[in-house]
Amino acid sequence: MTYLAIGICVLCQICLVAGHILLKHAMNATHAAPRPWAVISRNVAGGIALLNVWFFLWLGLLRNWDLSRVFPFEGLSPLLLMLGAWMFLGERVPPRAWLGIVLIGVGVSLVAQP
Amino acid sequence: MRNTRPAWFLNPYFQLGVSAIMLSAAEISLKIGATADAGGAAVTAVFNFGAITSFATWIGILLYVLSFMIWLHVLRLMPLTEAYSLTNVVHITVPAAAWFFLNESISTNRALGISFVLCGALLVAAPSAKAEETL
Repeated sequence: MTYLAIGICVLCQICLVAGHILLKHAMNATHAAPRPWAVISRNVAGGIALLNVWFFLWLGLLRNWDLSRVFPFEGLSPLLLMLGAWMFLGERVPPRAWLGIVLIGVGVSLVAQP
Repeated sequence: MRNTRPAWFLNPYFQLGVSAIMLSAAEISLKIGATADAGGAAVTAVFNFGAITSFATWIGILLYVLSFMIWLHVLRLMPLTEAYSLTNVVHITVPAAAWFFLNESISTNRALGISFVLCGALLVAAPSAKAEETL
């Protein structure tokens, strides 16, 4: 694969994960007593926008590359979730998860090979 | 409620299987839709807006949404950590479907890469479920 395609694969997964997180924040906000509509609508709009970017990037990847080649990049999304919690919330990443991150990285670079 | 056991078709394990099959079918449909028509745009374009003119793309979107709705139903009945682990079967079913229905050839390297991703995804399933709950 080209470096551009690999970069798009990664960007695609970042948009997917970030989009889901925004939608989840919006849904969490609906539990507040007077519903904070500004927060809800901002997060829903952001989430939908990111998922749209993900979708059309994904269709662009599928046009040029085998499905069995780009799909393994989906393995990056649980990894990104965890890294997000680690970077933004200071959550601890257990050793087995670091091993998992390495395996996903190796696997993705194997399928990305020309 | 006297009978809290869900009917067999509402069993979360069965539903997860259905969700995985639907996601695989969705990805196959999206692949067909994405390659059906370049929509006049250059094939090197990063975004593929032309794909929405293909019927297969819409079938793919429908299946994707259905698969997501089933996933939400599963999450009501099963802990996220367990669901996250089990849903990794898609790393096998999607490439298998691509091989079977789209005649994609899966080289040794690619098969090896897929197995590495699967093992890694299983290892991060529980911590990433925790991350999803806190993020």
